[in-house]
Amino acid sequence: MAQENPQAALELLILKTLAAGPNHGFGIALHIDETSSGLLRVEEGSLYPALHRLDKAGFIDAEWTVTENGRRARIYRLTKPGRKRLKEIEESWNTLAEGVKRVLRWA
Amino acid sequence: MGLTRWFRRGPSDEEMREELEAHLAMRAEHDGVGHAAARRRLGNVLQTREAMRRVWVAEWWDTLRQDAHDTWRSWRRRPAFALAAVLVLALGIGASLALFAALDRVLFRPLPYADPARLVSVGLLSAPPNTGFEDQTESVPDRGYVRTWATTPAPFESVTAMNTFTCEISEAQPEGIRCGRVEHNFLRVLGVRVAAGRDFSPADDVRGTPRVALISHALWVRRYGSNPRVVERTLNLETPMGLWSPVRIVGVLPEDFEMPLEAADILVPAQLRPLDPKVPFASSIVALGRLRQDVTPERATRMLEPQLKAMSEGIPSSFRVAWRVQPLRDRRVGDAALIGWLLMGAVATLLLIAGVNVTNLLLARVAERRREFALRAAIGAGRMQLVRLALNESVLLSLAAGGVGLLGAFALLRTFAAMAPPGIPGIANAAIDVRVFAVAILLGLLTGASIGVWPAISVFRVGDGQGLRATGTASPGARPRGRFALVTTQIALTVALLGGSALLLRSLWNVASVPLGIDAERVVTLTAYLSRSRYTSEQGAAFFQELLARARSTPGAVSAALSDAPPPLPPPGRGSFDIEGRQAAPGAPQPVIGLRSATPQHFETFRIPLIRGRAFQESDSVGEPVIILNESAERLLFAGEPALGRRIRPPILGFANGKAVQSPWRTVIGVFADVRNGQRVTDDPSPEAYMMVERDPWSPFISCLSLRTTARPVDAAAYLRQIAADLDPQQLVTIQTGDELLTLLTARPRFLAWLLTAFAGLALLLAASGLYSVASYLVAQRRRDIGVRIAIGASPRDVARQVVGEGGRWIIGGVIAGSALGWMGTRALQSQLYQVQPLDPWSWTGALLTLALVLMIAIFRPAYRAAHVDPVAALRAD
Repeated sequence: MAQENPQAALELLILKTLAAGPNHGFGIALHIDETSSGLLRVEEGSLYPALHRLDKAGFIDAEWTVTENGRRARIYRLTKPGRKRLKEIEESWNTLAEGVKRVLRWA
Repeated sequence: MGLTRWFRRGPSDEEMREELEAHLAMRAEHDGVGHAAARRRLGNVLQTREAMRRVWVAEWWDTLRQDAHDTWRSWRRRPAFALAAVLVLALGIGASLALFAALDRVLFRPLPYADPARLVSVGLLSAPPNTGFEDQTESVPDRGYVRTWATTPAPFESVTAMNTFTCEISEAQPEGIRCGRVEHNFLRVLGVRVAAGRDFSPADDVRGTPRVALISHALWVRRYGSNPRVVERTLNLETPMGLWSPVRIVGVLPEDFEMPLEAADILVPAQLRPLDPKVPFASSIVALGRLRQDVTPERATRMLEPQLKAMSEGIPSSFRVAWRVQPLRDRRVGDAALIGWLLMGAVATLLLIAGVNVTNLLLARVAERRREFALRAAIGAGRMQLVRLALNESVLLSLAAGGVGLLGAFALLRTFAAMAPPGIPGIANAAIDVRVFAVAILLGLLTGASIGVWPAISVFRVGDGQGLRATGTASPGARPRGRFALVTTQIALTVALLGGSALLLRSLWNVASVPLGIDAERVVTLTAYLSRSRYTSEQGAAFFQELLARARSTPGAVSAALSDAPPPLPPPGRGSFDIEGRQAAPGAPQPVIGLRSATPQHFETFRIPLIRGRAFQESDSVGEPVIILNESAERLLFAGEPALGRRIRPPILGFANGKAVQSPWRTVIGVFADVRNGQRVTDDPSPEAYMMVERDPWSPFISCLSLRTTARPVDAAAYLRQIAADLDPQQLVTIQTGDELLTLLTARPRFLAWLLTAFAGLALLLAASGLYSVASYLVAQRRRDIGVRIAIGASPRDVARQVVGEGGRWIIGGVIAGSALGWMGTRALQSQLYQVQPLDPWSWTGALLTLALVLMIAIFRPAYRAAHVDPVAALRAD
């Protein structure tokens, strides 16, 4: 549940990452790290609770699989409500970001 | 948001551990560092796992806590709002809880017996001809009971008999208590088991066997210090039937046991008299039955019909006699249930008004927090979440109010119990118990949900994202229609309550100003029940005569008299009189007249006006027997002929050695004005005759001293207490001032009137504050609008008039709706009104005027503020 800003941001990042394809927790952290060129570093301690929250909310699904390296990992996949959710919060995030940007420009 | 989600089981602890381990391994591999470094990167592994687990285990709990925390924070920012809302709701909930606790036993709680629905009171109702007397409660002659009901009649599974009387434990520390005579099967019919010792056995109930007793739990604690060895101890019981000694205690009643009708501390086997042709009629008893399965009270009445004749043997044939079988609960509660529902209705209305008031506050608050909600929505809170937040706030408000109300209910309940008129069973033992607690929680949740719905809906609308754009002052045209509608509702409900209370107050006024025929303002009475073990008849008479003599010499004493009961209490005896020289046709109806014994100064003491003839004199104690009538009795017996000098004969005065004692003929020497002497003040005076204490057989054990004095009643009471203590320090006496005596008689109308008036007053206060807050809101919202109008030349008067006019429309709407509501509601009051019609114009005018006055005051300040808006400041504000 995204009530506070940081959580909302993390939720957005996770969903966005999973929109590119199923992944495990470490993969998600790595993806965010790399695509933001190291600007955003995911707090790994909050990543997993956030994943479970999203899982519980039904926005993502989890499944145990074996990775290419032969390691067992919990793989997360975006669900249909998850896609809808992603669209919603992406929009409201953009609105907010745009608003903040304009204010910063004029201040 | 599917429901299943709430119940879905999350991954196991093992899975969570494995997931994190996999992460650490991948991190170590990817970064090319050791396991420990990967761990450091993750932070506290244990805490992370705990956080993951919490997601699954108690999400709802977390949310609730989070919401509660949010709500608490917002309350701390606006303590005045939270305090006002909680207090208003606590008022409504507290009053409801206290009333519920007080009336639980009357209205809701089943009787404390096994399968209580099948327990009935069964007996005869008899009405002597031409008298207006009619039994209100069913009773059974003991002889008929023994003879015809030795075998349980068909509609019943079992029957039992009981009655109660005043008795005294006459030992080292004498104590006046109530005793109950019951058949041996009494407790078994009720389905009650003794707490200690044994129940009565059939052998105990055989006349002539040694007396045994069961004692109440309260007596066991009070007198025997909860000693478990009390069983088999003995006590001496002083009863109207004589001294019983020794009486062996065989058991203790359970703590929660209640007698079905009058209370009793000691139960003894009834040992009903076996049939004895020499004793025609001994006493009447109360019969209780347990109906067979599937037999209704109505059917039972019909099934008993053939036995009517056998049972009513001994009752003159001119009496109208009929069976009545009614649920025990109905007999126990009587018309107290009606009063109970009336008060419940009133308090529910009050709670409704309080709820509407808080809804109004909440709506104002939602409007205030539009931007906060909009912001929350913008950063990802769903609409449902916002609605939940709003609902949670109202539920938390109500639960807090329920808690505060529960505390208030403790105090209120004491007040109710102290004010309560006699005849409301169980109110003395009423307490805030688990049931009240449960009701408190239920009321809190219910109130919370109902007051929260509307605000939640308006939050839902805010959630559409428009909120952020709105400025603090809404668009000028917006009217808080909803909030005004709520105020109208409040006013309507208040009108109904005010009207009802005005009617009851008028009725109370009428009751209180009923001329009683006596002047008791400066009278103090002392009543004593003498113990037959410590006094003989002669000693008893001497005790009272000495008391009388000493009372006459107290400071300020004007006159003093003895009687067997002071007015306006009913005369203790009654019966039909013979008139000398007039042969009553056999079977012809005979009027029944009350009979009271008094000393000569009785009339002077109570200032009862003499109509004809004279009062008793000392010299009447010898010579020709005399009697005095009241006007009604004179009219009834002599139908307009002069009564003075005629001789009449009172009914049988009692039994001595199994023979009826016939009174001699008595000459009528005086006629006095009527005195109210019914059970209630509002009953018409009934015919009554007076006999003289000094020469007639009166009970020298129960008597009342009345003293008219110029001293203050408090002082006079103290003098009387002192002289009684001087005469016999062990004797228990009851002292009442005349005012107290009269107050007791008007207890019920007073209780109703004051409670309803208190509720109506509170309702009025709430309605006024509701109107005030909405009108203020309106003015604040339209500041700019008003500023413009003043700037272009509107006078302050015009502006104020507009505000008052707008409010006035809603007030008038409320008054009209309320009058309709009151018209329907006060029909229920009809039976409680004395010489007032439910549509009494005075009461309703008074109620509406009060309402109008208070509401005008409430709207004055907002109107004043509107009239004094500074146009420049108002226009510059945004």
